Amino acid sequence: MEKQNELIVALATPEAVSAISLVRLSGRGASKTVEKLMRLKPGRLTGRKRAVGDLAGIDYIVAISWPRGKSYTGEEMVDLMCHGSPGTARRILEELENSGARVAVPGEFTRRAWLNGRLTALDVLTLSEKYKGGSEAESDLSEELNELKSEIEGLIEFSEDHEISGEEQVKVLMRRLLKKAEILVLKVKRAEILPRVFLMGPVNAGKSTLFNKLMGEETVVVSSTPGTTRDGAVRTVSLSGRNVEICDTAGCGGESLDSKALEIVMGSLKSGDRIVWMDPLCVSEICVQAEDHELLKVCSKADQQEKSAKAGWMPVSSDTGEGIEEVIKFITAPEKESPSWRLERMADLFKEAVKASEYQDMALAAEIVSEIFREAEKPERCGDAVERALERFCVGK
Amino acid sequence: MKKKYQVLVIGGGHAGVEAAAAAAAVGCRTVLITPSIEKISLMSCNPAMGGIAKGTLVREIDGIGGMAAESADETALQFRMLNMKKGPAVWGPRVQSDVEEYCRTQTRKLYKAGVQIIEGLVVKLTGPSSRIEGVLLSDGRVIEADAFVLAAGTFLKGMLHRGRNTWPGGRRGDISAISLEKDLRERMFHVKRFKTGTSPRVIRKSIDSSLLEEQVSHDVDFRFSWSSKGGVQNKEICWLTRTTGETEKIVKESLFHSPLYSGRIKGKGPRYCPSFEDKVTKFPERTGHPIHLEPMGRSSRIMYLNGLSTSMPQEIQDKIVRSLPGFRNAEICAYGYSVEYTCFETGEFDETLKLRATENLYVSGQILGTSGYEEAAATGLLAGANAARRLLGMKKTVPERMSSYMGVMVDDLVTKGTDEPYRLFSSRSENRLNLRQDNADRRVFPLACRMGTLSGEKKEEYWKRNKIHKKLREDILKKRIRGKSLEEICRRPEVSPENVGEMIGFDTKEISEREILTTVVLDIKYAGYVKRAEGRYEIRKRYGEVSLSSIKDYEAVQTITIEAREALNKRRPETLSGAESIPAVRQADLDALVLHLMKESVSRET
Repeated sequence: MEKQNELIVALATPEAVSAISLVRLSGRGASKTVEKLMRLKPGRLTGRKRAVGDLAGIDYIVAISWPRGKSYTGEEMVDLMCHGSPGTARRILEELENSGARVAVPGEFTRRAWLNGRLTALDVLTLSEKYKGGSEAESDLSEELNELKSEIEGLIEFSEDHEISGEEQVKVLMRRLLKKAEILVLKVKRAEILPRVFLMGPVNAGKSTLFNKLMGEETVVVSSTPGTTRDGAVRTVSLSGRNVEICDTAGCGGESLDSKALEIVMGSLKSGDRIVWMDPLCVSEICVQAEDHELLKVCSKADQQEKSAKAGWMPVSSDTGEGIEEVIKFITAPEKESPSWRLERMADLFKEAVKASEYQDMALAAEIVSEIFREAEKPERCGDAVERALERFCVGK
Repeated sequence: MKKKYQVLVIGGGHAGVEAAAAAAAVGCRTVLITPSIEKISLMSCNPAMGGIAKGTLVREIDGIGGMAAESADETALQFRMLNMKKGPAVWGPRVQSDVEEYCRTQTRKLYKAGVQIIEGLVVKLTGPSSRIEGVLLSDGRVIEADAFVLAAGTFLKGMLHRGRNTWPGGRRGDISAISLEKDLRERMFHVKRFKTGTSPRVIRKSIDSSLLEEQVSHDVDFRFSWSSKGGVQNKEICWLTRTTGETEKIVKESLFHSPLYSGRIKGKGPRYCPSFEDKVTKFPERTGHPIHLEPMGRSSRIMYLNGLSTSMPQEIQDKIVRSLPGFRNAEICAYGYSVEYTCFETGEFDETLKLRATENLYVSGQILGTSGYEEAAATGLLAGANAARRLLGMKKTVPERMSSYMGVMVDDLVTKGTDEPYRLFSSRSENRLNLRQDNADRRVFPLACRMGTLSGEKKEEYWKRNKIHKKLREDILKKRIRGKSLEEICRRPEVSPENVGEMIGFDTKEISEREILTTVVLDIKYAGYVKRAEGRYEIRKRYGEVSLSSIKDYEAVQTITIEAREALNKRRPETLSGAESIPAVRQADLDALVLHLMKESVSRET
């Protein structure tokens, strides 16, 4: 990982002709570097200052400096506003690079803001939404959570003394937050990349039939002669609002084990991929490392079986549609600790809180809201989620 | 030589009486000194016990053998359960009491507990501060004892204010303990000044109640004490009225008369029990503040105006009161006023409420910086019991933060301190779903046993209830309904304790049995939250054991905030609990520090 507080620089506005471009500089020595290039007195840009002048003969610019702890990133920071031509901005960037700044990686400014306590994890998660074109309204979740919390406490402690009739207000606020959380879940889900799904199992287990069923159309040759599907078919489909890559594989397992096919499949499997293991007889040995993958054991062609599925195997029939819903649920489930997983958990908690308030238990609702808060604030649990969210940021954010 | 008294309590208010009774219960010869016997346990302000969190506290007091709960039940005129729609964890039982009857009942109980009562005004402590020997009374008598509990309420250099008038007094019509306060200052105890206030009282006959809203007892069987028989009956009606725009206008125009706003009162007042002047200033746009009209006693001719605490001049108070609907011809028989008094600084007393600089002087009630009868009574009980226990060579007993409001309050007062009169709130507890009024006896029973203040008879009652509790819990836990465990069903928000009672055929009219059912069901409902809260607290408690000495420079800890980094580098606390007490360090920073230390120790091992 990059070094903390190292001086980084990036163009924060799009690289296009416009009135103004903004170059952002953050880290130790940001002020000093700009002071030098603008030939200002040392200390001129210490604290929250503004300076107008020529920068290294490139452009006439406005520099705004922010002190440590008060800036977006929480570090010493300078924003440079120059004329909006891509060439000018590029030259300023080069000049700053020559002075020791490093070009930032995507999301690095926000990551620093998070690490420095300027943003909560929830802010980061919702910010990433905002900058992908989401509406502004969804980004102030954490502020509203705060408001909700103090409203509930006021309601519990003072409503009798001072007759604050805030009950409806709290309920409205809570329902609104629930709705926002739910919208956010959908949005994040749409953007999130899910683990790949491999349909595996012995020859003629009905993998391709299920694959087709999931695709909603006949795309793979399906025949009941074992071993028809030799090369894996890969498709990205949209299931329950999520984009997921599904790989149909050649049969590998059971009696007519095709070692070559297995080799090909195993070669392309990556840790974290999800596996739907299909076997109508529920007897085949599963030939993947269980700890590396999430696994769903499916008793396929369930409608044709005489005996019911063994324990631990999910009965599925592509013909009758039995169990298909569960398979889709498994395929599209958010990854543990991913942004959508966390947001979904928060939405679930909101649902509980709303329900508690409807049954006149504000104290319980308050406790649940506190849990949502802790969920949003906990650094160790959301670290990965934030990292993932940050990856999707553009440079300069 | 053996002294006549072992424990001497100064003050006969809500703290003093509980302190004296508790010391006697632990086994000490106890004496209580008060300026006037007929004002023992006087409700100097509103004629009611309980409220949100406070009502729960009253039940905790009953659970460890205090007197307040039983007396409130015996003298109750009406009962209301506050916060009925906010969830059972924050229900706040409150009873209106007959004030005179309450004094008599408490005095009777005090004598029954074996406490001697002496009428007199303490002017000085005798002996060195490290070990007080006795007290000097204004009539020249010296009374000696081995341990002392100071429960002087608002009397320490009490100054009363109304309009431009200021005069010494601990309470309307009472003397101020000026020399005792001087003695404490000379003994170099750190003190501060707080203020509080009270409302005017009006003559009942002068009010036109047809214009007011009637308030009667809530139709719920309730009593504070587990030893009281039967629920509180409605014996008196209270009334509700609201201020009109006129009322606020009068106050706004006369603010310069108020000693609070003219700068004459410098003591800090309670933010959450504000004077009417405060309400009008802080919420200038609001009107229609509720004012409750409460009888001071059964068929008493005097009514208390709850919600109208003021220290305006008399003629303005007349105007204010007469602007209320139904009060056009109201006659005030006692005007409201503010009282400013001396109390002890945080840090002066330890968790047993003993002054740290002394061996045998304990403090309780408002001089700790609290407000409210209930808070006073609870601290009195703890101070009295601990004074007696120390004297008899027994272990100290301190209530736990996670299991009682008493624990929350003592911990807050001792470790966090307060810069305004401390009132208990449910949100002061991090384990609110567990600190309920229905299970107060169960939560404090272990403490009561350690303290030795609970009578054998009350313990017997407890064990009887416990037996029913155990049986009921077993029945519920093993019952299944249509394939689902009843335990699981209990957790649904729509399922109430009464529903569960119906499901298992538990039908009883007995209050305490119904209460047990409530406790069992709510405990199951909230078990997950309570367990997590306790887990978090356990972790926090261990912060004191976590050394930060291995961190040489906090700049290297990238996961904490800049503010925290700077503060930690500057203050360099030895342990995590030291870090916790720094305001710039947030919970997330503490979590991050724990993680950092864990990673560090792993990398050192490998």
